[in-house]
Amino acid sequence: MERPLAVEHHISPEILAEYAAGNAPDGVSLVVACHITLCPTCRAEVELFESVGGSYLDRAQPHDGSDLEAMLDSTLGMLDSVEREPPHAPGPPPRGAVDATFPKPLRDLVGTVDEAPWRKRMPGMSTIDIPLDSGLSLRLVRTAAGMGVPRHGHNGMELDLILRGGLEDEDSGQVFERGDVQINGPDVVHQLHVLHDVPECIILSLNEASWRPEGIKARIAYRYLGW
Amino acid sequence: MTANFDDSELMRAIAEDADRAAFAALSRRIAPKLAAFLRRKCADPADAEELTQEVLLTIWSKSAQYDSAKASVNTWIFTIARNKAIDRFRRKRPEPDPNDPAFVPADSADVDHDLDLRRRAEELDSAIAELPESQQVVLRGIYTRDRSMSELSAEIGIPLGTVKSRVRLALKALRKQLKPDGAPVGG
Repeated sequence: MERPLAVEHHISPEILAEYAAGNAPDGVSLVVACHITLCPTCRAEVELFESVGGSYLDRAQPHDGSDLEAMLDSTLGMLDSVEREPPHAPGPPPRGAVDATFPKPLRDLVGTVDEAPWRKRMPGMSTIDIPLDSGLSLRLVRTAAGMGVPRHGHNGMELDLILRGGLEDEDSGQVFERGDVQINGPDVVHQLHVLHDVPECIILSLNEASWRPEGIKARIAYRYLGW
Repeated sequence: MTANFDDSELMRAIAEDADRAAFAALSRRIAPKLAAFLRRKCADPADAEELTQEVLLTIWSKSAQYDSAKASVNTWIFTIARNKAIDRFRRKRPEPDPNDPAFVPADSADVDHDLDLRRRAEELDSAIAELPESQQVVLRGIYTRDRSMSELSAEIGIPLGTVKSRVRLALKALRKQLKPDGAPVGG
């Protein structure tokens, strides 16, 4: 993209392990897949945690005397009808063909930034709600440079992945940019603003529960938004 | 643990020579474990057997994509089984695509070339066995009992934060076994 990525804020290891094990809830797995598209460090962690799965598979105790001979024989008989795939294609992917702001797992759901069905919610902000099976709430939020996010607490866990631009958390002073993940638990109360020197900010935001607005401005905004 | 060594040789024969005897040998070893492992994810044992067959056929079709430098055969087969189970019962598992223009490749300097996967697999097995039981329970929960951490919290009756910290501690101990020089990321 604009400049080389230097991801500073990562997903916690237990969530990466849950993803590696195949049991991350719907929504969490999407955020993880998008983050590790952009973060080779966490991708390597996932591969490490997959080897824990390999260990458990190797130690799985076969049940009763379940006879798999018939299945094995029929499997051998089916090999001719199975297409053998070539090795992974080497070489870098074609650049510039597709807007890569959204990693592929997200593009598969909503298309590229320009194709996605943005809903304008207020001046300087558009959103997309992505339905999930898990009861968590997943949305894309697109905000203009400099916009403020009024003070709020959290009734559950929030997992945000920055896809374009960036945010500054005014309480912690931390800055989050493309590839970075911010995780907020019920103990976090904060306000943020979009960085001023970016064209806009797009984040993928997963929430277990609603936000707790602090102050009248926040209450009005978040009631209107349904956050 | 000579089985692991044999597995790499078997995979090479399967990938390069379409060696059916090698495939039969690998299948014979792994199928009972796969069936046991997948039975946790399927209400119906017949489903587990069917999924096992699908995994075996995928091993055959994708054998050329197995990279012995990246993972042990057991780990590679685990990921195939994991994905098949997810794809069957839920929507397709989201995964990074190395051909995605957004994909950030690893710095070649970061890649661990000094990999002895056989040694690592043995160390991992004993490292898991040495974890405190409370940590083994949660690890088993997410890896073999098909539970998310939230589901485990509800099932065991302990706070989600406690489940998360037990998983995190377990991973920290295991990581130390696998990468003695590496510092963990993400806190």
